[in-house]
Parts: sequence; C-alpha cells; structure tokens
Amino acid sequence: MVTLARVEEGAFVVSGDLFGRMVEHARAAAPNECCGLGLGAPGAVAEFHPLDNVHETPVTRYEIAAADQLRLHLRAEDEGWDTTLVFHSHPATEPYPSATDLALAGWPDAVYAILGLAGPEPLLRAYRIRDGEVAELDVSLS
Amino acid sequence: MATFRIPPVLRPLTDDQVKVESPGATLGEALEGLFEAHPALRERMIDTDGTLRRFVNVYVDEEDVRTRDGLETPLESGSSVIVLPAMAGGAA
Repeated sequence: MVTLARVEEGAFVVSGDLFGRMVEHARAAAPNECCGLGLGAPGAVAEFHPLDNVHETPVTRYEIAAADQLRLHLRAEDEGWDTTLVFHSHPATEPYPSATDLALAGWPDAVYAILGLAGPEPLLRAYRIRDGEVAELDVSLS
Repeated sequence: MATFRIPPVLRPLTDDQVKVESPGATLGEALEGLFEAHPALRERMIDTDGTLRRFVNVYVDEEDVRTRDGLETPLESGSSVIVLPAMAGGAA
C-alpha cells in the first residue's frame, strides 16, 4: 500500500506528492476554500481525494457533498480502511481551526489538515480535534 | 427492523455500540426508537424545528434521505441506515 501520509510519534508526516496535490487543489479553488478526504488504515493516508466545496459561502466555508462523503465512506469500508484525513484550505487566513471548524469537527480519529495560502508560501498545519479540543501535530515533509 | 450504523463521534452516546437496531416503517419512526434507547442522540441529530440537523447526513440503503423524503423516508425490513457527521467547517 502506498502511504501518502502517516501519523508518527505525534507528527503528521506528509509525502511531497500529497503536499503538492493539496497545494494544487487549494490554488485552483482560491479565493474559495477547497476540501478533500484521505482514506487509509488508522493513522495513514493511502488515497487522497480532492473534492468540490458545495457550501453556499465557499470563500469562508467548506462542505463536502453528502454523496461524495458516502461514496468514500463505502470505499473505505470495502478496503477495511477509515477516513483518516479531512483537508481544507484557508485562502486568506492562518491555517488554524476556526470556531466553525471546531464546532463541526465530527471525526475524532481523523487528522484535520488545513493549508493556509495567506503567506508568501503555502503553510500546512495538522490537528486532532476531539470534543472541541485542538491538539496540533507537527507537520514534516518526507 | 432497520440497522443504524453509528459513527465514532456518536458512539459514546450509544454505549459504544457500532450498530443499533430499531423498528419503524419510516426513518422518523425508527429514530424515535433509537432516541428512546439512547436519548442523548436526539439533540445531536434533530434540530429544534424537528428536522434533521444541517450538518448530519443520513443515508437509507445508501441514499441520502435529503434527496428522498427526509424523516418520512420509508424503511424496508433489513434497511441499513448510515449516519455520518457532515465534513464541513471553514475560516469564518
């Protein structure tokens, strides 16, 4: 199984390939936020799926289509995987979970990765969000 | 009898059960049975106006109930009901 990213000793280790795909997806969607999901064994990302943002206010919000979510949920089940990565971009703000991100974070076992585009270079940050509490993971590129 | 598949974030409210069975001719009826057994689920899934919460997705036999009849969506014997918290958020 190809591993695009994995959680290792409190860090989120991201392949250059996955990072490049995240940046490409975010830049293509800007000034709107983009979103995507990663599937894999617990703590790993074997597949990354860039998805459409269907929220009615996409500049500052994102929402994955219910149909996409089901399709990938069933795909993960077929493979014996989980949804292990929830990805979105913050085109104009820091890549830190907003109050909205915290309120709607419903996947305690997934890594929430946010790519910020406000600075001179894209900045990827990763978090676990459980019961509204944020724990940041160090991000390293492999 | 329908089988609800409970997502990880809601399992603390179902005594960590992954699958919960509940009878009913419609999704709404089966949900009432589910809420009777696990009352804390109601607030997480149903809004104050009695409809499904905006950021909870429910699928009956792999179809989004919002594209069918919502809580009135009919259930077959052995229907599978998947509950997935929406994946949503954003900077504002």
